Amino acid sequence: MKLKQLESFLGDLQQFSNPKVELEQYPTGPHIASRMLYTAENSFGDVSNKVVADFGCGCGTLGVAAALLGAEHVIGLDIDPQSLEIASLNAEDLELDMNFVHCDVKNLGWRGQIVDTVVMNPPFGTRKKGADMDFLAVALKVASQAVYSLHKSSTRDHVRKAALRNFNASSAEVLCELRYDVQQLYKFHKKKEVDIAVDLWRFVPQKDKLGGIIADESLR
Amino acid sequence: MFALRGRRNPSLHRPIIEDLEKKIQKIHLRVLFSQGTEMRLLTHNMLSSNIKGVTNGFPLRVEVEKMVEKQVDFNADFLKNMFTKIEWKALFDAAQTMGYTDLPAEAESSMLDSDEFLKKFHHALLELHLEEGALICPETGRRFPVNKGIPNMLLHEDEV
Repeated sequence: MKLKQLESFLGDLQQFSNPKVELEQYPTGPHIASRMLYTAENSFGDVSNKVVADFGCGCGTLGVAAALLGAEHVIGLDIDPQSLEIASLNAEDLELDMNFVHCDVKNLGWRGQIVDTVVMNPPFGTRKKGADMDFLAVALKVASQAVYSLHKSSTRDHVRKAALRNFNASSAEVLCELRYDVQQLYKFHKKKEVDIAVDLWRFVPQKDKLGGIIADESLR
Repeated sequence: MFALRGRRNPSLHRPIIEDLEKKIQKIHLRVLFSQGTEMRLLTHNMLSSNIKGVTNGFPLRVEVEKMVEKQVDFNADFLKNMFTKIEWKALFDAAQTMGYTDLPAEAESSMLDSDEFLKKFHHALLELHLEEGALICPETGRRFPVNKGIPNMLLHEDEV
């Protein structure tokens, strides 16, 4: 599938009808989402024929993009049931067979490392400090191949240090800097549209020496 | 379609009309067979109960109220790769609970050469879907309900 095609499919998806500020629900725009998954597939081969998890999937944009690019099994996680309902309608509209789990990403129980790739647009942690780092810590435990994530460019050094030092990533690379246009969703937004500089990261989790299966204990 | 009437050569428009008819048929089919989201047993195989104090939350017991079968494209390479990551016993038990009894109770990698085995594995892993029911923690018996194919794995405050 061509990038333009992917972007246009994603542009047709239904988005949050009543975004919840406490969960920092901002839709992942079709421009960013298509580039993120297109790069993951075409530069690194991390999508097609893989098991892909979308952490904090919201309306499912990244997961849908993964499924459109040929992921074999896509699982979207979110704490908000209304978002999951929209996400599953979006999947259904495109006749994609996706799975969803209603959970708090931070404390879902996983058995082993079945997930190959995690894709996510985590809450940036502006409302709840450290929310983005919580997501990243779990993603690097669950994924066996790669984690793709968006973080504010202003936090670049912090993200790199945390990933390599605290979460045992074997590599952390900024693939590109993107502009995230946050439209005026919430009342506290003063301007109509704000551009935030965000980094598209690719992290590689540490390969486990025991053949990729990690004990349940380490996921707690 | 009506706008095309009166044109000099209606046969020229046949492909357009056929295309429209196909689209209409597709919409009908989707209304008839639209089932929404369901959970594959592959998802079941990767989840465990994470309640505070539970030492072995896997496998979650499956309780079936409603299940459906969905056709999924067959991908032998994916299955071979998955085989090493799957807990066979958990898949076997879950498939039995869903009413599918063709899986062998034990499996080893030499079986992956058999197409017949791969097809059964494929069916159990990807085509049996739980729509309504529950996943039950093997240690505490806590029920995680599954509604419209989405398991609710949210923990209560005292379980975290």
